[in-house]
Amino acid sequence: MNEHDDMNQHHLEARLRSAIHTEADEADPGALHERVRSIPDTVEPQPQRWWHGLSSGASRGAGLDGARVKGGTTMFSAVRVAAVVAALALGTTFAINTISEPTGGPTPGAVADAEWLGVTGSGRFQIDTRNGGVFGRQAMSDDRVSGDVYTTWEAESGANEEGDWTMWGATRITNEQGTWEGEYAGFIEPDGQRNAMGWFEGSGAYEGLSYLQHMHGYLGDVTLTGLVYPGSIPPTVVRGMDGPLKPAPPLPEG
Amino acid sequence: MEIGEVLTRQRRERDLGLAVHDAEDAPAADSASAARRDAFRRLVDLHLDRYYRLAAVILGDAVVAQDAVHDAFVQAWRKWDSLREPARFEAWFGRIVVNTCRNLQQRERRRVARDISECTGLRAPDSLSTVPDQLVIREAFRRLKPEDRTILALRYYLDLKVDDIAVVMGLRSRAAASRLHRALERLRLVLEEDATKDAVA
Repeated sequence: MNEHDDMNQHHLEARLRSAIHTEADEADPGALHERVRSIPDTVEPQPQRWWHGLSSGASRGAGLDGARVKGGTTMFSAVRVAAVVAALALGTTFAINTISEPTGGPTPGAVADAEWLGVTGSGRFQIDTRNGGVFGRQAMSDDRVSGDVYTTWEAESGANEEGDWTMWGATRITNEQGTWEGEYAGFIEPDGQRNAMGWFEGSGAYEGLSYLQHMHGYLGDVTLTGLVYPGSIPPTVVRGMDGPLKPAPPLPEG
Repeated sequence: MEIGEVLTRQRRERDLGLAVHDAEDAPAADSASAARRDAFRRLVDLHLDRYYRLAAVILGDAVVAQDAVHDAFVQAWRKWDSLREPARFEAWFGRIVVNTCRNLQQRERRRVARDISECTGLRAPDSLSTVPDQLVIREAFRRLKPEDRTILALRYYLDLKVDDIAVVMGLRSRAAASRLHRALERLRLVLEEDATKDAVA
Protein backbone atom coordinates (compact mmCIF):
# COMPACT_ATOMS: atom_id res chain seq x y z
CA MET A 1 0.00 0.00 0.00
CA ASN A 2 1.56 3.32 -1.07
CA GLU A 3 1.29 6.61 0.79
CA HIS A 4 -1.71 7.76 -1.22
CA ASP A 5 -3.61 4.52 -0.57
CA ASP A 6 -2.67 4.74 3.06
CA MET A 7 -4.14 8.23 3.33
CA ASN A 8 -7.30 7.09 1.57
CA GLN A 9 -7.57 4.17 3.96
CA HIS A 10 -7.26 6.41 6.99
CA HIS A 11 -9.71 8.89 5.50
CA LEU A 12 -12.28 6.14 4.90
CA GLU A 13 -11.81 4.76 8.40
CA ALA A 14 -12.27 8.20 9.92
CA ARG A 15 -15.46 8.82 7.91
CA LEU A 16 -16.80 5.42 8.84
CA ARG A 17 -15.98 5.83 12.52
CA SER A 18 -17.70 9.21 12.59
CA ALA A 19 -20.80 7.94 10.76
CA ILE A 20 -21.10 4.86 12.98
CA HIS A 21 -20.77 6.88 16.17
CA THR A 22 -23.39 9.36 14.99
CA GLU A 23 -25.79 6.53 14.19
CA ALA A 24 -25.06 4.90 17.53
CA ASP A 25 -25.64 8.13 19.43
CA GLU A 26 -29.00 8.56 17.71
CA ALA A 27 -30.19 5.21 19.06
CA ASP A 28 -32.03 5.86 22.28
CA PRO A 29 -32.43 2.90 24.60
CA GLY A 30 -35.45 4.59 26.17
CA ALA A 31 -37.32 2.20 28.42
CA LEU A 32 -35.02 -0.67 27.55
CA HIS A 33 -33.13 -0.32 30.83
CA GLU A 34 -36.22 -0.99 32.90
CA ARG A 35 -37.32 -3.78 30.59
CA VAL A 36 -33.97 -5.53 30.87
CA ARG A 37 -33.55 -4.87 34.58
CA SER A 38 -36.85 -6.64 35.20
CA ILE A 39 -35.70 -9.83 33.46
CA PRO A 40 -34.76 -11.55 36.76
CA ASP A 41 -38.31 -10.93 38.00
CA THR A 42 -39.88 -12.86 35.16
CA VAL A 43 -37.28 -15.29 33.84
CA GLU A 44 -35.94 -18.21 35.83
CA PRO A 45 -32.21 -18.74 35.53
CA GLN A 46 -31.35 -22.08 34.07
CA PRO A 47 -30.23 -24.48 36.79
CA GLN A 48 -26.54 -25.16 36.57
CA ARG A 49 -25.94 -28.27 34.55
CA TRP A 50 -24.27 -31.03 36.43
CA TRP A 51 -21.43 -31.20 33.95
CA HIS A 52 -20.50 -27.53 34.48
CA GLY A 53 -17.32 -27.06 36.44
CA LEU A 54 -16.64 -30.71 37.03
CA SER A 55 -13.02 -31.69 37.26
CA SER A 56 -11.78 -34.97 35.95
CA GLY A 57 -10.73 -36.40 39.31
CA ALA A 58 -13.27 -36.40 42.10
CA SER A 59 -16.21 -35.74 39.86
CA ARG A 60 -15.35 -38.63 37.61
CA GLY A 61 -15.51 -40.84 40.65
CA ALA A 62 -18.76 -39.17 41.69
CA GLY A 63 -20.42 -40.03 38.45
CA LEU A 64 -19.04 -43.50 38.27
CA ASP A 65 -19.49 -44.62 41.84
CA GLY A 66 -21.27 -47.90 41.94
CA ALA A 67 -21.58 -50.08 38.92
CA ARG A 68 -21.40 -49.00 35.33
CA VAL A 69 -24.70 -50.65 34.66
CA LYS A 70 -27.91 -49.94 36.47
CA GLY A 71 -31.20 -51.72 36.77
CA GLY A 72 -34.48 -49.92 36.20
CA THR A 73 -37.45 -49.44 34.00
CA THR A 74 -36.36 -46.42 32.01
CA MET A 75 -37.58 -46.51 28.48
CA PHE A 76 -36.25 -44.53 25.56
CA SER A 77 -37.56 -45.94 22.34
CA ALA A 78 -36.87 -45.15 18.73
CA VAL A 79 -40.41 -43.84 18.48
CA ARG A 80 -39.68 -41.23 21.14
CA VAL A 81 -36.38 -40.26 19.54
CA ALA A 82 -38.10 -39.87 16.18
CA ALA A 83 -40.91 -37.93 17.80
CA VAL A 84 -38.51 -35.36 19.23
CA VAL A 85 -37.01 -34.74 15.79
CA ALA A 86 -40.45 -34.58 14.23
CA ALA A 87 -41.70 -32.22 16.94
CA LEU A 88 -38.82 -29.86 16.36
CA ALA A 89 -39.05 -30.03 12.60
CA LEU A 90 -42.77 -29.42 12.58
CA GLY A 91 -42.79 -26.91 15.40
CA THR A 92 -45.33 -28.94 17.29
CA THR A 93 -45.67 -29.43 21.02
CA PHE A 94 -43.44 -31.84 22.86
CA ALA A 95 -45.61 -34.65 24.13
CA ILE A 96 -43.00 -37.11 25.16
CA ASN A 97 -42.82 -38.40 28.67
CA THR A 98 -39.04 -38.58 28.64
CA ILE A 99 -38.96 -34.77 28.72
CA SER A 100 -40.22 -33.19 31.89
CA GLU A 101 -42.20 -29.97 31.76
CA PRO A 102 -39.79 -27.67 29.91
CA THR A 103 -40.47 -24.35 31.55
CA GLY A 104 -38.03 -22.08 29.86
CA GLY A 105 -36.39 -23.92 27.04
CA PRO A 106 -36.96 -23.48 23.35
CA THR A 107 -40.70 -23.41 22.92
CA PRO A 108 -41.84 -24.94 19.64
CA GLY A 109 -42.84 -21.50 18.40
CA ALA A 110 -39.42 -20.09 19.13
CA VAL A 111 -37.76 -22.92 17.28
CA ALA A 112 -40.07 -22.50 14.32
CA ASP A 113 -39.60 -18.73 14.14
CA ALA A 114 -35.89 -18.50 14.74
CA GLU A 115 -33.17 -19.16 12.25
CA TRP A 116 -32.35 -22.82 12.79
CA LEU A 117 -30.18 -24.92 10.63
CA GLY A 118 -30.45 -28.62 9.83
CA VAL A 119 -27.12 -30.40 9.56
CA THR A 120 -25.97 -33.86 8.49
CA GLY A 121 -22.71 -35.69 8.75
CA SER A 122 -20.90 -38.71 10.08
CA GLY A 123 -18.62 -39.75 12.88
CA ARG A 124 -16.01 -42.34 13.65
CA PHE A 125 -15.68 -43.30 17.27
CA GLN A 126 -13.95 -45.91 19.37
CA ILE A 127 -13.94 -47.05 22.97
CA ASP A 128 -11.57 -45.26 25.30
CA THR A 129 -10.31 -48.41 26.97
CA ARG A 130 -8.56 -46.58 29.79
CA ASN A 131 -11.52 -44.46 30.93
CA GLY A 132 -14.48 -46.37 29.59
CA GLY A 133 -15.77 -43.54 27.43
CA VAL A 134 -15.98 -43.18 23.69
CA PHE A 135 -13.93 -40.76 21.61
CA GLY A 136 -13.52 -39.83 17.97
CA ARG A 137 -14.30 -37.15 15.42
CA GLN A 138 -17.40 -36.03 13.64
CA ALA A 139 -17.58 -34.13 10.36
CA MET A 140 -20.80 -32.24 9.71
CA SER A 141 -22.22 -30.11 6.92
CA ASP A 142 -21.74 -27.11 9.20
CA ASP A 143 -18.25 -26.70 10.67
CA ARG A 144 -19.64 -25.31 13.90
CA VAL A 145 -20.75 -28.77 14.98
CA SER A 146 -17.77 -30.68 13.59
CA GLY A 147 -14.80 -31.59 15.75
CA ASP A 148 -13.37 -33.89 18.36
CA VAL A 149 -15.91 -35.79 20.41
CA TYR A 150 -15.72 -37.33 23.85
CA THR A 151 -18.64 -39.23 25.31
CA THR A 152 -19.29 -41.02 28.58
CA TRP A 153 -22.01 -43.56 29.03
CA GLU A 154 -24.17 -45.55 31.38
CA ALA A 155 -26.42 -48.44 30.43
CA GLU A 156 -29.27 -50.47 31.84
CA SER A 157 -28.43 -53.85 33.30
CA GLY A 158 -30.46 -55.66 30.69
CA ALA A 159 -32.28 -55.34 27.41
CA ASN A 160 -35.96 -54.45 27.18
CA GLU A 161 -38.60 -56.60 25.47
CA GLU A 162 -37.51 -55.36 22.06
CA GLY A 163 -33.92 -56.31 22.75
CA ASP A 164 -32.69 -52.72 23.10
CA TRP A 165 -30.37 -51.65 25.89
CA THR A 166 -31.03 -48.17 27.21
CA MET A 167 -27.92 -46.02 27.47
CA TRP A 168 -27.24 -42.40 28.34
CA GLY A 169 -24.31 -40.13 29.03
CA ALA A 170 -22.62 -36.83 28.42
CA THR A 171 -20.95 -35.57 25.26
CA ARG A 172 -18.52 -32.84 24.46
CA ILE A 173 -17.84 -31.71 20.89
CA THR A 174 -14.83 -29.44 20.59
CA ASN A 175 -13.35 -27.47 17.73
CA GLU A 176 -11.17 -24.39 17.46
CA GLN A 177 -14.03 -21.94 17.81
CA GLY A 178 -15.91 -23.40 20.75
CA THR A 179 -17.48 -26.32 22.52
CA TRP A 180 -20.84 -28.08 22.70
CA GLU A 181 -21.65 -29.94 25.89
CA GLY A 182 -24.70 -31.77 27.08
CA GLU A 183 -26.40 -35.06 27.72
CA TYR A 184 -27.72 -37.71 25.40
CA ALA A 185 -29.94 -40.76 25.79
CA GLY A 186 -30.81 -43.63 23.54
CA PHE A 187 -30.27 -47.33 23.22
CA ILE A 188 -28.04 -50.00 21.81
CA GLU A 189 -29.95 -52.04 19.26
CA PRO A 190 -29.78 -55.83 19.34
CA ASP A 191 -27.26 -55.83 16.48
CA GLY A 192 -24.96 -53.40 18.33
CA GLN A 193 -25.88 -50.19 16.52
CA ARG A 194 -26.20 -47.08 18.67
CA ASN A 195 -29.32 -44.96 18.38
CA ALA A 196 -29.29 -41.84 20.53
CA MET A 197 -30.32 -38.24 20.80
CA GLY A 198 -28.24 -35.52 22.48
CA TRP A 199 -29.01 -31.95 23.37
CA PHE A 200 -26.00 -29.67 23.73
CA GLU A 201 -25.27 -26.10 24.80
CA GLY A 202 -22.77 -24.03 22.88
CA SER A 203 -19.95 -22.08 24.46
CA GLY A 204 -17.05 -20.09 23.07
CA ALA A 205 -18.11 -18.82 19.66
CA TYR A 206 -21.37 -20.74 20.01
CA GLU A 207 -22.57 -18.99 23.13
CA GLY A 208 -26.33 -18.55 22.91
CA LEU A 209 -26.81 -21.46 20.51
CA SER A 210 -27.98 -25.00 21.15
CA TYR A 211 -27.55 -28.15 19.15
CA LEU A 212 -29.83 -31.17 18.99
CA GLN A 213 -28.19 -34.23 17.45
CA HIS A 214 -29.34 -37.72 16.56
CA MET A 215 -26.82 -40.47 15.96
CA HIS A 216 -27.34 -43.91 14.48
CA GLY A 217 -24.96 -46.66 13.47
CA TYR A 218 -22.00 -48.68 14.61
CA LEU A 219 -19.39 -46.76 16.58
CA GLY A 220 -16.89 -46.90 13.73
CA ASP A 221 -19.34 -45.40 11.25
CA VAL A 222 -22.12 -43.31 12.70
CA THR A 223 -24.64 -41.25 10.76
CA LEU A 224 -25.48 -37.92 12.37
CA THR A 225 -28.27 -35.44 11.85
CA GLY A 226 -29.04 -32.38 13.88
CA LEU A 227 -30.40 -28.91 14.34
CA VAL A 228 -28.49 -25.81 15.40
CA TYR A 229 -30.75 -23.13 16.80
CA PRO A 230 -30.58 -19.96 18.90
CA GLY A 231 -31.74 -20.33 22.48
CA SER A 232 -31.38 -22.77 25.30
CA ILE A 233 -31.96 -26.45 25.82
CA PRO A 234 -34.89 -27.42 28.06
CA PRO A 235 -34.16 -27.35 31.79
CA THR A 236 -34.38 -31.11 32.14
CA VAL A 237 -33.90 -33.26 29.11
CA VAL A 238 -33.67 -36.84 30.18
CA ARG A 239 -36.15 -38.29 32.61
CA GLY A 240 -37.16 -41.87 32.99
CA MET A 241 -40.63 -43.22 33.69
CA ASP A 242 -39.91 -43.39 37.42
CA GLY A 243 -37.95 -40.19 37.82
CA PRO A 244 -34.66 -38.68 36.80
CA LEU A 245 -32.00 -40.99 35.52
CA LYS A 246 -28.86 -41.58 37.46
CA PRO A 247 -26.38 -38.90 36.40
CA ALA A 248 -24.36 -39.80 33.38
CA PRO A 249 -20.63 -40.21 34.01
CA PRO A 250 -19.02 -36.78 33.85
CA LEU A 251 -16.72 -35.76 31.07
CA PRO A 252 -13.02 -35.41 31.79
CA GLU A 253 -11.78 -31.88 31.93
CA GLY A 254 -11.56 -30.35 28.47
CA MET B 1 -28.18 -43.32 56.95
CA GLU B 2 -24.40 -43.26 56.75
CA ILE B 3 -22.80 -39.86 56.30
CA GLY B 4 -21.34 -41.04 53.00
CA GLU B 5 -24.79 -41.94 51.74
CA VAL B 6 -26.18 -38.58 52.82
CA LEU B 7 -23.40 -36.77 51.01
CA THR B 8 -23.87 -38.91 47.93
CA ARG B 9 -27.63 -38.24 47.94
CA GLN B 10 -27.11 -34.52 48.39
CA ARG B 11 -24.59 -34.50 45.60
CA ARG B 12 -26.96 -36.33 43.29
CA GLU B 13 -29.83 -34.01 44.13
CA ARG B 14 -27.61 -31.03 43.49
CA ASP B 15 -26.36 -32.50 40.24
CA LEU B 16 -29.89 -33.08 39.07
CA GLY B 17 -31.06 -29.67 40.19
CA LEU B 18 -33.44 -31.30 42.64
CA ALA B 19 -31.88 -30.04 45.85
CA VAL B 20 -34.52 -28.67 48.22
CA HIS B 21 -33.23 -26.23 50.78
CA ASP B 22 -34.06 -26.88 54.39
CA ALA B 23 -35.93 -24.09 56.17
CA GLU B 24 -32.74 -22.90 57.84
CA ASP B 25 -31.01 -22.69 54.47
CA ALA B 26 -33.75 -20.53 52.96
CA PRO B 27 -32.35 -17.11 54.02
CA ALA B 28 -28.95 -18.01 52.61
CA ALA B 29 -30.54 -19.14 49.35
CA ASP B 30 -32.62 -15.94 49.16
CA SER B 31 -29.54 -13.89 49.84
CA ALA B 32 -27.58 -15.66 47.11
CA SER B 33 -30.46 -15.19 44.71
CA ALA B 34 -30.70 -11.47 45.55
CA ALA B 35 -26.96 -11.07 45.10
CA ARG B 36 -27.17 -12.70 41.70
CA ARG B 37 -29.99 -10.37 40.63
CA ASP B 38 -28.03 -7.37 41.88
CA ALA B 39 -24.93 -8.46 40.00
CA PHE B 40 -26.96 -8.91 36.84
CA ARG B 41 -28.54 -5.46 37.16
CA ARG B 42 -25.18 -3.83 37.78
CA LEU B 43 -23.90 -5.32 34.55
CA VAL B 44 -27.04 -4.20 32.76
CA ASP B 45 -26.46 -0.63 33.96
CA LEU B 46 -22.83 -0.80 32.92
CA HIS B 47 -23.16 -2.37 29.51
CA LEU B 48 -26.66 -1.99 28.14
CA ASP B 49 -26.22 1.34 26.35
CA ARG B 50 -23.03 0.27 24.67
CA TYR B 51 -24.35 -3.06 23.42
CA TYR B 52 -27.71 -1.60 22.47
CA ARG B 53 -25.98 0.96 20.28
CA LEU B 54 -23.72 -1.73 18.84
CA ALA B 55 -26.84 -3.74 17.92
CA ALA B 56 -28.48 -0.63 16.44
CA VAL B 57 -25.45 -0.06 14.21
CA ILE B 58 -25.25 -3.71 13.14
CA LEU B 59 -28.98 -4.07 12.53
CA GLY B 60 -29.62 -0.55 11.25
CA ASP B 61 -32.88 -0.46 13.19
CA ALA B 62 -33.15 0.94 16.70
CA VAL B 63 -36.39 -0.91 17.48
CA VAL B 64 -35.16 -4.30 16.35
CA ALA B 65 -31.95 -3.60 18.28
CA GLN B 66 -34.00 -3.22 21.47
CA ASP B 67 -35.46 -6.69 20.96
CA ALA B 68 -32.04 -8.10 20.12
CA VAL B 69 -30.41 -6.74 23.25
CA HIS B 70 -33.35 -7.73 25.42
CA ASP B 71 -33.17 -11.29 24.04
CA ALA B 72 -29.41 -11.33 24.57
CA PHE B 73 -29.79 -10.29 28.21
CA VAL B 74 -32.51 -12.92 28.71
CA GLN B 75 -30.07 -15.53 27.47
CA ALA B 76 -27.31 -14.12 29.64
CA TRP B 77 -29.55 -14.27 32.71
CA ARG B 78 -30.73 -17.78 31.96
CA LYS B 79 -27.15 -18.95 31.58
CA TRP B 80 -25.77 -16.82 34.40
CA ASP B 81 -24.32 -19.79 36.25
CA SER B 82 -22.34 -20.87 33.22
CA LEU B 83 -20.38 -17.61 33.27
CA ARG B 84 -17.37 -19.08 35.02
CA GLU B 85 -15.21 -15.95 34.93
CA PRO B 86 -17.19 -12.76 35.60
CA ALA B 87 -14.18 -10.76 34.42
CA ARG B 88 -14.80 -12.17 30.98
CA PHE B 89 -18.39 -10.98 30.89
CA GLU B 90 -17.85 -8.60 27.99
CA ALA B 91 -16.37 -11.21 25.66
CA TRP B 92 -19.04 -13.73 26.71
CA PHE B 93 -21.91 -11.28 26.35
CA GLY B 94 -20.47 -9.81 23.15
CA ARG B 95 -20.73 -13.22 21.54
CA ILE B 96 -24.32 -13.57 22.65
CA VAL B 97 -25.21 -10.15 21.21
CA VAL B 98 -23.43 -10.84 17.93
CA ASN B 99 -25.10 -14.25 17.58
CA THR B 100 -28.50 -12.76 18.42
CA CYS B 101 -28.02 -10.00 15.83
CA ARG B 102 -26.89 -12.55 13.28
CA ASN B 103 -30.03 -14.60 13.76
CA LEU B 104 -32.25 -11.53 13.55
CA GLN B 105 -30.48 -10.38 10.41
CA GLN B 106 -31.04 -13.71 8.72
CA ARG B 107 -34.72 -13.59 9.61
CA GLU B 108 -34.95 -9.98 8.51
CA ARG B 109 -33.20 -10.76 5.23
CA ARG B 110 -35.91 -13.29 4.39
CA ARG B 111 -38.59 -10.73 5.18
CA VAL B 112 -36.86 -8.02 3.17
CA ALA B 113 -36.48 -10.39 0.25
CA ARG B 114 -40.25 -10.84 0.21
CA ASP B 115 -40.99 -7.13 0.48
CA ILE B 116 -38.35 -5.86 -1.91
CA SER B 117 -40.90 -4.81 -4.54
CA GLU B 118 -42.31 -2.28 -2.12
CA CYS B 119 -38.89 -0.74 -1.70
CA THR B 120 -38.13 0.14 -5.31
CA GLY B 121 -37.80 3.82 -5.83
CA LEU B 122 -37.19 4.30 -2.15
CA ARG B 123 -33.99 6.17 -2.65
CA ALA B 124 -34.28 9.94 -2.63
CA PRO B 125 -33.12 11.65 -5.82
CA ASP B 126 -30.60 13.82 -3.99
CA SER B 127 -27.36 14.43 -5.75
CA LEU B 128 -24.19 13.42 -3.98
CA SER B 129 -23.14 16.99 -3.47
CA THR B 130 -26.19 17.82 -1.37
CA VAL B 131 -26.16 14.74 0.80
CA PRO B 132 -24.05 14.99 3.91
CA ASP B 133 -21.09 12.68 3.84
CA GLN B 134 -22.25 10.75 6.90
CA LEU B 135 -25.52 9.80 5.23
CA VAL B 136 -23.65 8.53 2.19
CA ILE B 137 -21.44 6.39 4.41
CA ARG B 138 -24.39 5.14 6.44
CA GLU B 139 -26.36 4.15 3.39
CA ALA B 140 -23.38 2.30 1.97
CA PHE B 141 -22.80 0.64 5.34
CA ARG B 142 -26.37 -0.63 5.45
CA ARG B 143 -25.95 -2.25 2.07
CA LEU B 144 -23.07 -4.38 3.28
CA LYS B 145 -23.55 -7.99 4.30
CA PRO B 146 -24.44 -8.55 7.97
CA GLU B 147 -21.06 -10.13 8.67
CA ASP B 148 -19.30 -7.07 7.25
CA ARG B 149 -21.46 -4.68 9.26
CA THR B 150 -20.80 -6.69 12.41
CA ILE B 151 -17.01 -6.69 12.10
CA LEU B 152 -16.91 -3.00 11.14
CA ALA B 153 -19.15 -2.08 14.07
CA LEU B 154 -16.97 -4.05 16.48
CA ARG B 155 -13.89 -2.27 15.15
CA TYR B 156 -15.15 1.28 14.66
CA TYR B 157 -17.86 1.54 17.31
CA LEU B 158 -16.56 -0.61 20.17
CA ASP B 159 -12.99 0.15 19.09
CA LEU B 160 -12.01 -3.48 19.64
CA LYS B 161 -8.62 -4.63 18.50
CA VAL B 162 -8.39 -7.43 15.97
CA ASP B 163 -7.59 -10.03 18.64
CA ASP B 164 -10.67 -9.05 20.64
CA ILE B 165 -12.84 -9.05 17.52
CA ALA B 166 -11.59 -12.56 16.86
CA VAL B 167 -12.70 -13.67 20.33
CA VAL B 168 -16.17 -12.15 19.97
CA MET B 169 -16.72 -13.51 16.47
CA GLY B 170 -15.15 -16.89 17.14
CA LEU B 171 -12.42 -16.45 14.56
CA ARG B 172 -8.67 -16.73 14.48
CA SER B 173 -6.90 -13.38 14.63
CA ARG B 174 -5.64 -13.66 11.08
CA ALA B 175 -9.11 -14.49 9.81
CA ALA B 176 -10.55 -11.54 11.72
CA ALA B 177 -7.92 -9.20 10.26
CA SER B 178 -8.59 -10.51 6.78
CA ARG B 179 -12.36 -10.15 7.14
CA LEU B 180 -11.99 -6.65 8.50
CA HIS B 181 -9.84 -5.68 5.53
CA ARG B 182 -12.29 -7.21 3.06
CA ALA B 183 -15.26 -5.51 4.74
CA LEU B 184 -13.57 -2.12 4.37
CA GLU B 185 -12.79 -2.88 0.74
CA ARG B 186 -16.41 -3.77 0.08
CA LEU B 187 -17.52 -0.54 1.73
CA ARG B 188 -15.15 1.38 -0.51
CA LEU B 189 -16.55 -0.40 -3.58
CA VAL B 190 -20.15 0.40 -2.59
CA LEU B 191 -19.21 4.04 -2.11
CA GLU B 192 -17.52 4.14 -5.50
CA GLU B 193 -20.53 2.52 -7.17
CA ASP B 194 -22.84 5.06 -5.56
CA ALA B 195 -20.62 7.92 -6.64
CA THR B 196 -20.60 6.63 -10.23
CA LYS B 197 -24.40 6.23 -10.28
CA ASP B 198 -24.90 9.69 -8.88
CA ALA B 199 -22.48 11.14 -11.41
CA VAL B 200 -24.42 9.49 -14.27
CA ALA B 201 -27.74 10.63 -12.84
